[in-house]
Amino acid sequence: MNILEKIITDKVIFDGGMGTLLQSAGLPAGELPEQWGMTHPDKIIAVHESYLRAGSDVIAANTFGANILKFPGKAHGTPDLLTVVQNAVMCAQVAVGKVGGKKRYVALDIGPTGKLLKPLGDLDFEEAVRIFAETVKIGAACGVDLILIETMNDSLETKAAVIAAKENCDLPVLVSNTYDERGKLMTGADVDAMVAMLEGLRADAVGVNCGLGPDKLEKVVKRLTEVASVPVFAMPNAGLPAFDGEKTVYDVPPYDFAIKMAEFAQMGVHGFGGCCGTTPEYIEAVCFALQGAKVLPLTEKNRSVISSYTHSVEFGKTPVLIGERINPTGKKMLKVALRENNMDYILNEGLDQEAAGAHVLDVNAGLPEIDETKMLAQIVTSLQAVCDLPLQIDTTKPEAMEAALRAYNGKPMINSVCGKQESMDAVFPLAAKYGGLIVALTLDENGIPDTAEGRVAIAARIYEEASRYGISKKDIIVDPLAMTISADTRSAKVTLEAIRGIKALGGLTSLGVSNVSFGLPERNMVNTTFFSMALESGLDAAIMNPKAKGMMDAYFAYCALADKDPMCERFISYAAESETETAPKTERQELSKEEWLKSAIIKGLKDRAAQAAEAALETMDALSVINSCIVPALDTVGMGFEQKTTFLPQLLMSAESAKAAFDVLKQRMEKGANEKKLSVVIATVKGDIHDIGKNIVKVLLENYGFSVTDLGKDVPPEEIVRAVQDKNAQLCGLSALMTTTVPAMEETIRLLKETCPETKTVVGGAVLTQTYADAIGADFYAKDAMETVRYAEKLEEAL
Amino acid sequence: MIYVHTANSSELLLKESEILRYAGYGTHVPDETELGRIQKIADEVLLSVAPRACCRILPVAVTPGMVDFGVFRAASGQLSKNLAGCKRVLLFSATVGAQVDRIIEKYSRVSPASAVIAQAVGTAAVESWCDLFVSSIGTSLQKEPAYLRPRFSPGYGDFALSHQREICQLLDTSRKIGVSLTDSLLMTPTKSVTAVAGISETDERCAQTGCEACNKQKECLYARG
Repeated sequence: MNILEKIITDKVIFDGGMGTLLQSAGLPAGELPEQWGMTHPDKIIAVHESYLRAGSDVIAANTFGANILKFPGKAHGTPDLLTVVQNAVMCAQVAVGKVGGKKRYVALDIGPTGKLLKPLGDLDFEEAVRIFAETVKIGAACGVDLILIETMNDSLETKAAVIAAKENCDLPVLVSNTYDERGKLMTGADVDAMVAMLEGLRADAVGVNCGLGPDKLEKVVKRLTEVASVPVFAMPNAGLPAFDGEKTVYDVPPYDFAIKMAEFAQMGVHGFGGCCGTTPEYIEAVCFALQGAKVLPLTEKNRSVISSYTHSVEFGKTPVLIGERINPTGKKMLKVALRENNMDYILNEGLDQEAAGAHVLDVNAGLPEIDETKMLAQIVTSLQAVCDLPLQIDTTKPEAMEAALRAYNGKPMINSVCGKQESMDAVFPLAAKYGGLIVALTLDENGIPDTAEGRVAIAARIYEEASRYGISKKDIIVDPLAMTISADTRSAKVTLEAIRGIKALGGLTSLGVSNVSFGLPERNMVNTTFFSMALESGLDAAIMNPKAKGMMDAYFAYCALADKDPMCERFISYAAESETETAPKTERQELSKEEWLKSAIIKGLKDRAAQAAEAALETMDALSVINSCIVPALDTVGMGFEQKTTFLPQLLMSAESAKAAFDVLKQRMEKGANEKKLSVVIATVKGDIHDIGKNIVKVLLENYGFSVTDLGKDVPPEEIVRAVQDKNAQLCGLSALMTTTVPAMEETIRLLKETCPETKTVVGGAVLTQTYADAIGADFYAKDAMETVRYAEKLEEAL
Repeated sequence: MIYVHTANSSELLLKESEILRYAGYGTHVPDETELGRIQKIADEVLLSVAPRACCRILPVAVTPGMVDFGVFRAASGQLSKNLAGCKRVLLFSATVGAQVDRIIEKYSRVSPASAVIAQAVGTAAVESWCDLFVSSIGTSLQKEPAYLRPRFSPGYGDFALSHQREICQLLDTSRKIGVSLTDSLLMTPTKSVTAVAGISETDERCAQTGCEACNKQKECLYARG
C-alpha cells in the first residue's frame, strides 16, 4: 500500500521534532542540521530509529533546510546539495531497514526557503519554484516515498513548492502550513483559502504543523476537517515556549498532547505527528491514545470556492459579484493605461471596485498591440500586492492564461472555456494543473443555441469532458450567455430558462448581465430588472459594474428579499453608505470660483478640488484654471513646505488635490497642452523595496507638469538605462533607503554616465547626504521632494 | 531555546505625537480634520497588525570595542559601551506582520499622503510592540533579579547592519515570526526590528538611551528634539 492509499483509509503516524533532539545529540547553535548530519550520520539515524520504534509510519529525512540557497556548493564553501540530500535520505532509509516490522515511509522534507516572496519580499516566484525543484529532483532520485512540504507560512511560497514537486516527480505530495493564533498564515491566508488553493493544485493531503500546541490549534484543525475533501494531518508543537524568567520548557506534556490528538481523530484527522519540542515519547503517547481507533471516512465536501492570499469566496450561497471594469473592451482610458503600462490607473480601477462592493475582480488585458501574456501576469501580481479580492483571469490566449495562473496567489476563476473541443483541450489541462473555478460558456462549433435546452446540453457536454481531467462539476460555473433583447425579444427568457436548466443539473451559473440591453436606450433600467430576474432564477454570480448604483441596489434588495441577508444587515449598512455627501454650499457661495479651487488645493481636499475645477471651467478655459488657480496654490504650499510651515503629509494632500483638479481639466485640454519639455525617469534602485519617497517625488513632479516615467522599486541598473534611452529623458531620479543599496545607485549612475552622458541624475532617500551623493557621482542631491521639483524646473528653463 | 511571544493589536499603545513625528510633522499638531484622517488610517493599520516576537538569551563577553556573542562577534564601540558589565544579552526580533506592508503599498498607489501616514503608524506600532515585549521580558528577569539595558539594533551607530544576518539565523526568525532578510539586508515585512539588550546583575541606568545613544543623531530624519 502506498502512503496515499494508507492516509485515505487509515491513520498515519508521522514523526516528531528533529531540532531539539539533534541539539541534545550535540548540534551546535548556529550550525545547519543538514550540514551537521553529513559528519554525524549515526546521530541522525539514531533519531529516526527512536521515532520508528515509538511507532511512526512516516519519518521525514533531515532535509528541511536542504536547498540551493543554503547549499550552493563547494565553490561557495558549502557541501553540494546533491550529497546533502543523498546523505539525509540514506540516513532515514538505513533507520527503516534497521527497525523493520510494519511498512514505513521516508518523506523528503521540504521547509521554506527562509526568504519572503515578491511583492512582500525579494524572492521571485519562478526562482522559488526552481529552488524547490532542485531538492525535489534529488530526493525523488534517492527513492523517497513521498514529498512532505511543511512549516510553510506564506501561501505563495507554498504554491511554488507544490508546483515544483508536481512538475518534477510523481510522488504523493503532502502539504502542511503554520497557522497563528488568529488561524492565519503569517502572510494572511486563512484555512479556507489554503485548502481552496492546495486542493486546486492537487495536493494529496493538507495539514498544519509548528507554531502552536495542539490546544491552540484546535480551531484550525477543526476547520481543515470541515472544508478539505483530501485527508488532513496535524503535527503541532509541544506547546508554545514563552520566557517567564524560569527555565521554561514546552508547556504541553506528552499525555495531554496525545489526548488532544485523539480528539483530532474524532474530528476527522487522518495523520498525526509532532513538531518543535515533541520527542519519541510524544509519538509513543499518540500511538497509545489512538490504539484501535478507526479514522472517519473521507467525505467529498463539494464546495465551490476560489481564494486570494487572505480569504476564500464560496459560490452557491449568496450570489457573488464580479467586477468587470478591468477589461479594455469599450474603455478608452483603460486602453491608454494598458498601452502606457500605467499600472496605477489599473490598480485604482481595482481598488475602486473593491470599495464599491465587488467580491471578485475580472482581469482582462486583451489589446492587440500589447504583449498580453506579460501584461496579464503583471496586473495579477500588482493587484495582489494591494487588493485582497480573488481574481477572475480573463483571456482567450492559453499562454497568457498559464502565465497568470502560475503567478496567481490562491485559486482564481478562469474565464473561460466553451463547448468547442479546441477550447476544452486548451483550458482543462491548465485548470487541472493550477486549480481554478472555470467559467464555461454555452457555445460550441455550431455557435450559440437559441434554445435553453441547447445551451443546457452544451453545459452537460462540458461537464463530461472536464471529468476526464478530474475536474468536477463544483469547479465549473456555466455562463448561459445573455443576448440582447434588441435583436430578439425572446433572448432574455431563453437565458433565464437556461439558468434554471443548469441549476436543475446541480450546476452553478454566472452571467455577463449588461449584454442583455445592448442597442437599447436607458440600458441601466433594463439591466437592473434583468439582473433581479436572473437572481430569482438562481444565478450564482454576475459579471457587472459594481459602481453602477442601480445594479448594487438590485443586488442588496434581492438578497434581503430572498432571505440571503440575515436581519437585513447588509442591506441596512448598504443603504446607510449610499446616502451621498452634500456639497459644501456655504463655502462655495462665500468664495469666488478661483479662490474656491485654490483653497481646496491648499487645504488638501481632494473631492472638493475636483468639484471646484468643474465649477471654474464654467467661466474659464482649462489653461487659465491651471495658471491662475492651481499653480499659485501649489506655490503657496510648496513655499510653506520649504519654510517648514507646511508639513509633508499636508504637502502631499495638496498635491493629490491638485492632481484631482488636473484630472478634470485634462478632459478639456489637448493632450500635452500643459506638459513641460523635460522628461523624467524615476526609480528605486535594485535591492531596495521602499518606494514611498519615490512616489512622493512622482506626484509632485506631475503636479508641476513634468512627464514622469515611474519604473517602480528594486529596478536593475540596465533597466533604468534602457528607459532613459527610450524616453530620451534629460533627468533621472534615483532613490535608496539603505546603505546597502547605495552601491546599486552608484552602479546605475556609472552606467548612465557611460551610455547617456547628457542625462542629469538626482538622488535622494533616507540614507543619502550631500557628501554621499558627491561620492557616487550624482549631479544633484535633493534633500526632499520639493528640491527635486526645483531642480527639474531649473533644467527645464535651460532647455 | 527560542521563545516566541505574541500580542493583540489592542495591547499596543500608540502615541499620537510619535505617529506625527514619524509622518514628518515634527512637533506641529495638525487641525481636527487632518487628525481625523490620520486616525482613520491608524485604525485600519492597527486592525491589521499581528505582533510577534522571538528571543533567546545568550552569554556574552564584552571588551572595549568588541562584543563576543559566542556564535558571532561584533566590533562596535557603542554597543560594547551599551553592554559594558553584562554577562548575558537578550537577542530578539519583533514584527507587526505583513499586512501593514500591503496597506502601505495600497496607499502609495492611490494616495501618497495616506501612505506616509500609514507607514508612520506602522513604525509607531512596531516600536510600541518592541517596548511592550522588552518590558515584559524585563519584568520576568526581575525575579532573578536581573535588569535589562535599553535595546540596541544593528545599524545604530557603529553596530554594523550586516549583523542582522547572524541574529536572524540564531533566532530562526523566518520560521518563528515570519521575518526574513532580503539580499540587501532589508527586513521583510518592513515593520520589523532586530535588537540586542544587555542583561546586567545590577540595576544601573544606562547613561544614554534612544536617539542620544546614536552617533547618527544629526543626520537622522527622525531624531528626537
